[in-house]
Amino acid sequence: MTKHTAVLLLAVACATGIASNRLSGQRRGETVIETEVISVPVTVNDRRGRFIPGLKQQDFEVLEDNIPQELTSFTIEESGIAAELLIDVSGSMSYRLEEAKRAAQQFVQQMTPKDVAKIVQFDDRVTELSDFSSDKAVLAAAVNKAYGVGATALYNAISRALDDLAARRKVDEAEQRHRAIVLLTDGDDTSSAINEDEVLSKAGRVDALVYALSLDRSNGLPVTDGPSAVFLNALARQSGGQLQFPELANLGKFYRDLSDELRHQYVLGYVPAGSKAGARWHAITVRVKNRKDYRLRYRTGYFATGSRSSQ
Amino acid sequence: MMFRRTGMVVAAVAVVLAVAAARGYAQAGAPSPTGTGTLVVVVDPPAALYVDGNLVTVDATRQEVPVPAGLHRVRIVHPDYQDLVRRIRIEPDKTATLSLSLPERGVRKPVAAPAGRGRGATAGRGAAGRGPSANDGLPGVTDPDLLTGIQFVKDGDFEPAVDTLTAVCRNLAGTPRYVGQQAVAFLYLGAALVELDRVDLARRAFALAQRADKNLVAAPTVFSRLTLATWADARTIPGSEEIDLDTLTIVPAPAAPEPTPPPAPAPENLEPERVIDPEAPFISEVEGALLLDFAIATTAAPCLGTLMINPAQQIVSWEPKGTACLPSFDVPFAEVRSPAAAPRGGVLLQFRSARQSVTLMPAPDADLLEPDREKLTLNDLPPSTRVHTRSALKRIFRALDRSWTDSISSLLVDVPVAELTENPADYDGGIVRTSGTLVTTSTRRGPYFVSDDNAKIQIAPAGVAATMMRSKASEWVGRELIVSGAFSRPAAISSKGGTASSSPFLITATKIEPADEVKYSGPARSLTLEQIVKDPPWNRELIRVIGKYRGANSFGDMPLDSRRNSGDWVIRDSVFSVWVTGRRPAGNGFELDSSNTRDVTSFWVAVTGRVEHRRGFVYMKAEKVELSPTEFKKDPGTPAIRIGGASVRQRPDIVHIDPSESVEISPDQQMLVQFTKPMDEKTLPGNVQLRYSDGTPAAFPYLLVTYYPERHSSVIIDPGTVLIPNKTIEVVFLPGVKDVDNQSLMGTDTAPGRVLKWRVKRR
Repeated sequence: MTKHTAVLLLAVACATGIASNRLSGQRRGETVIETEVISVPVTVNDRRGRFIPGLKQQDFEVLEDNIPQELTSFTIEESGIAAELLIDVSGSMSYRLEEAKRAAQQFVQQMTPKDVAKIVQFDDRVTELSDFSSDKAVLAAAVNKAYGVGATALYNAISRALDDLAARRKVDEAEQRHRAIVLLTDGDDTSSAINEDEVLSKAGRVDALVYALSLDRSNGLPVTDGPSAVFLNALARQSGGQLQFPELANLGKFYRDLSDELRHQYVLGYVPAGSKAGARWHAITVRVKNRKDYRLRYRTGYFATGSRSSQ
Repeated sequence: MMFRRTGMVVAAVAVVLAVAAARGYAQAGAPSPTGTGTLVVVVDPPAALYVDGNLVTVDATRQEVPVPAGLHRVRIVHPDYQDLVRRIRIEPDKTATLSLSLPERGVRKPVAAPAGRGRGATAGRGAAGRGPSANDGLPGVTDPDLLTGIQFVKDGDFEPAVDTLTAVCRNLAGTPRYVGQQAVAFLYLGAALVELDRVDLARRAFALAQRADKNLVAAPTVFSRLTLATWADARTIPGSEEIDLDTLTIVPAPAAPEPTPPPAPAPENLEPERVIDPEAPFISEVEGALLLDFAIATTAAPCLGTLMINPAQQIVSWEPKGTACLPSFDVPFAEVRSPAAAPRGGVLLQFRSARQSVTLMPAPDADLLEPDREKLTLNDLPPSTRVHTRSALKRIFRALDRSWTDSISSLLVDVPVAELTENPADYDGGIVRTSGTLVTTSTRRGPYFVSDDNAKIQIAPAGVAATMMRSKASEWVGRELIVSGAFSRPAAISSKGGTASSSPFLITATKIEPADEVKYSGPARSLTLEQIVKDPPWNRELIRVIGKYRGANSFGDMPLDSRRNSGDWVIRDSVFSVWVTGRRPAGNGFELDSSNTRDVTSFWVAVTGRVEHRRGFVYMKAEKVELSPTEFKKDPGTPAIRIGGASVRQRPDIVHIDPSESVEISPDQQMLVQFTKPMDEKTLPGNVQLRYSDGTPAAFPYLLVTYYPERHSSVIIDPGTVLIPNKTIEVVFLPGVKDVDNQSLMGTDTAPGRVLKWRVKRR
């Protein structure tokens, strides 16, 4: 979700020199009213996780703090994405790594000119194989270089990726890219300095979706309740992403679908009305009218930091 | 002589006793006045009194004693305090009153081990004594007049003490080789002035002592709490203030030039406008005892006081500086819960007994407690307050010898469930601790909630806590749990019902423990394994013992047929081992597995419980199991991860930095650095420095660099000071930083050393 601020300047001749609602930087005699437009990207999928195209503005309803809002803008974005691909190259991945790399290449191949990606591998070290780039050839070569044998610094890797995406937030917002971490791993963290609380706390402050693909298996079955899965599920849920347990054979399809989902979002815009102003949390609820079978994914609120006019 | 302790404050009781022929310690040369007067002694709590060597009463609060005019020696004896001696002069037909509060003016005796059958000496407890030696263990005190002055102080003869010590201070001034003794003279002069209730002068005398000898300490085993508090307060006198040696008055400074106006704050600086003295020291240490100056909110202005944590006596004490404040208290360590940050700032001190909890705000931030001040949420607190609170918490944990769960992202805040549900935005993204009754519809799958006073919040166990919840949920339902973890609001995912289940905030819980497992059962006596094996206690007292976890007898430490139950496990130190029964090797956020090689070779545990005897074997019937980080750190055999298989010969390198140097950090940030090899933590102090890259002069008096082997060879660097926004802060590792193989850190070969940099954001 991004916040676009539309600033209306009204020059008011005021003999007494009194101005109300002074904001930093405003000149005497001017009254500045800030009106914020709240943008909410929403992913709409069916029960099988496929993107639902063709929805229109009137199909949606949005509430802020349980107060219905009037949509002022509606776009179907094939938006750009800024993604950091984290590839687990620890020793336990060694016999699956080549297959995993081929699958990750499919994500790279689906990139559009608006997208940027960074390839990072992690075993007991987190190693950048490329910087953020839109050059598919560079990224493909970086994926091919992935190799490792050590322990698993899963939390370090996620924490680093969150830092990377936080550092480029302004650029991505200006160029209207959604930020995401796409993580492939097969087990629990064994060598990170960062702990789960710290990763979760950091993720709560960074506007980035976390998608985790787990190859963790026990007797052929996905380990859905191990420490790693529980943590990744919490992380994904908090961010608006997902944890999935693909089979190695169809890992490529998962990467493609992920790429598709990240790219296809409806972006709803509204000017908040009726809810309380001030520095506080505002809860957002989005529904598709008359389609209870649709699955929506969006961040459920934002924290306003300053004053704004309430209408 | 037998004493009877009443254990209560008794109402005033006047006891008139006839005293035999006057004896006194008349000063040499002074004529003895004739006639009689009345000596009134008021003491709290009740104690035994001697006047001029004669027992007056064994146990009372107020005595009226007719005595001959002249100088008399009063000695107050109480089993918990060292003998208190005072000299008091009685004028003919006059009444002189000596009023003493032992908690204020006395010096506590160290806590002695309780007597018992066949018991050996307990570790860490000093013997009770009748007072310090002549020099109070201060070597180098040779000046005879100084020794005389010190003796006057010990004898309670404070007026001549002041005269003598003032003269000594003057005589020793200006001679460098006597500066140490001069400092001692100022110290005792200040102590005498405190007893004469001339506290302001005492402060200045202490300040002069501190300036003369920065290493001088006022020992809590020698000086009263009031003296120690005044000693600590003396540090607030700025070094620039000149104090006259003779009169102990502040010398007025010469007219100063017009001060440079402070630079205007940056427009985006949203820190509330208030005067903060970042150099105001509120934490000090006095011979191993930690002293922290705190403020407490009242209906009027906040009141100040000092919290003292004394590891030698295992006591936490509070001493207010004025009236209308939280009354003083002394509690044993075991009664104090591990503190956390309070929801509105400060340190939340809670107790395992019925004693009410208290929020203590670091003294430099006392203005936040002014009654007309808007109450800030945790997210809105000034960075300086967060830094002070974090510094205080760290040092308290260290003094309590408890494991501090450092987090570089947030302070752990103790918050009631109702507060979390009513004001979730205030804690969003933070790490919280709360408690409530476990509620769930499915013990296996959840969802799980903790409920308290009609408020309910969802918890999502993660990591080890998830494993524990699955196995323990059926046992925990309906019981009060203490839950810690990250507090946030997950994204909404619509359910099959269609409406987005706008999930409320929840706690991703990484630690869960039943509240009744942290109940206070009285202090547990610490013993070694050798003591409980060779000389086991035969009563049912609570014992605490530390040993290395050895699994289910994985190494054959104990005879196989001595096991009582299938779940029993073994702890061992270098020679002795015992079975632990009644509880699994699990506790707050951990669970050890006897089939895991790392678990049975790496972890020390502290077991609290009672000793049992069966068929000639000793067993620990455990009531509580904790990890013992102190022993964990010290154990040389602990296999630590070496990143990339770094060998002995390889030099250590930095493998992870958090936050990374590409992000801007907040002014109250801590930084984490992970190394490829275990580091020698003794090489860190002094070899890790902070500075601003543009050369801005800055001191970091509270810089704390803490090594965490359990975080895979990491250090957390706490600047201890609010960083200056919009500047680049550098952490410099000097060549002295070495690993356990005595190899220096990569990149420290050339000046200035290995440098890491972060930009400090505006807000």
